[in-house]
Amino acid sequence: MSTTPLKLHWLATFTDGSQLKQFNNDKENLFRQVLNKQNDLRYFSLYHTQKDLKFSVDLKLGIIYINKQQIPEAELLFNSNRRNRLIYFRRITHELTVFGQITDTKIIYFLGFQYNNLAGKNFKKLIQIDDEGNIII
Amino acid sequence: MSANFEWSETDHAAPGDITDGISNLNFGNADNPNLSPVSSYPITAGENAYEKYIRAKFSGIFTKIENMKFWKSAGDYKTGETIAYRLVVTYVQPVITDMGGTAIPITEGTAVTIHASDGTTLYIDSAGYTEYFVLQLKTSAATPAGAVNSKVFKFQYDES
Repeated sequence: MSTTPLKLHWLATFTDGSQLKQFNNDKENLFRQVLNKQNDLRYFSLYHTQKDLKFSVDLKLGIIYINKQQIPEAELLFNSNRRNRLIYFRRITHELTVFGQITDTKIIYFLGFQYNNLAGKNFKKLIQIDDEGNIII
Repeated sequence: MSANFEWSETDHAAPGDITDGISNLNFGNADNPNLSPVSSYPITAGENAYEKYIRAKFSGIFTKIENMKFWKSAGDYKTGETIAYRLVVTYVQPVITDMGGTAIPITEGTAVTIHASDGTTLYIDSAGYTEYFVLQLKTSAATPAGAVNSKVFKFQYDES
């Protein structure tokens, strides 16, 4: 069985100040619990478990942060009246060999938000983060 | 944690013997999982290997598995060699005769879309298996004697 340890754990912060962690002691909370309260979600963050790295989305303002540094491109999207919807998933790739011995598993984390402009067109702003905390904007 | 993932192979007469957690996808002249050493299961030039009924199995903690793709990412074919695939929801005993099918894609952009066990749903939201992706290595009379090249298959999905 392949269970790949996650190096980035999420933390959801809601408009009333309450928080939900992915891991609470030994219990893992489902991301579905965040989706169920998405209308009340203010911040969604990923913490690296081995490095001092934090990646956050401010859903109210539509801004992505790396630690406390705002991603410059995201600043141009600022619009407090816009409803930003969280995007978060992990893209996982497993390998299986034929006549060989190599096996590998890779995880890329996708974090960002999407919104519709006044014309109804959907836009997405995403960053991709690998296990080491390297980012692709 | 993320969802628990296992490659699974089913063999023998229906309903079949399920082996979760297989370690390789070695083809040969026997209807068994984890064939090793492969030299003990030779494929005569111009003939085929037994079909392999492969699935992905998910368990553990997850909300949704979607955007599932499967392709061959590495390993060149020898002359006359190819690996074909087809997608099915019902298991039948693997055969060594030509199963037909389509050559497995070799790029992520052309990868095979894998569905849930019903063969139509594009996501999995509770523990279980995907549909079967049936694979068969085929050769021709022109395929040279000796071992073929090793190959790598990738299965990719988005998990939340």
